Amino acid sequence: MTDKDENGCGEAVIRLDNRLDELGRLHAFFEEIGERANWPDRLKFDMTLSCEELLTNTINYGFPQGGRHVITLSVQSFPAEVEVRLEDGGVPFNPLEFGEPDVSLDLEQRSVGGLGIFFVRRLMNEMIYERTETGNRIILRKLL
Amino acid sequence: MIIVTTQREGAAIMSIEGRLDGQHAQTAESSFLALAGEGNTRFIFDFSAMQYISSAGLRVVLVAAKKVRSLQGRLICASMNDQVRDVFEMSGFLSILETADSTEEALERLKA
Repeated sequence: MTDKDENGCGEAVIRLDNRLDELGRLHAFFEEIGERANWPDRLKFDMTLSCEELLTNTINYGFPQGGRHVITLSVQSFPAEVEVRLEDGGVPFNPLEFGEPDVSLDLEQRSVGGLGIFFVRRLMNEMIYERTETGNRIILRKLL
Repeated sequence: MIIVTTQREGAAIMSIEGRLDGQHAQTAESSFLALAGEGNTRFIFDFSAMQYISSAGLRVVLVAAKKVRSLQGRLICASMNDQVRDVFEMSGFLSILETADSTEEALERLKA
């Protein structure tokens, strides 16, 4: 299911199915926004990575009952900031509740659990979670 | 993502082209495990054509590093671009894994 539209104030929306093979579309989406908005590569990667991590969690854990579901991602770019909104109809999942991984552990003890959200916290200026009537909403803000 | 494996000077070199993300991680892990299963103990991950890595990709690297340790072998990650290096650095992986600027450098180090 593809849907992408853009109105005058710099908003772009994409609807993704809850499947990992949709990640390619996520990358293409940010590639295009980055081109149009003249983002430095670093910003493009930071936004893509943050969204991929959150999206992956939603895809893997958001729909234990299975089935095909849609996750909506909308990006608004302003001169001094980028705002991303991720919405899904999955089970309650608040990434802010998760503790940080210990990145100082040595190889034996390391795991990658929690790294995705850790990256989002490091790369974004703000992450807000809201539980809506129908599902989850995460808002990311990145100051430019 | 495309994976090409080559053998050079006693090392198995896994060159990953494209994105090592949640969609492709499983494939990369399987490729590595196949190489390990063939008896290789010295590995180079050639990232020169890898544009991007996420935590799913880091998991593959971590699995590989732990496996290599259990084999008493070595693993060197070579030719990371800025995005990849930043992800390694943020996650603390840069300090627990061996890295090199190029496959050539990695091969030299494996001989030492």
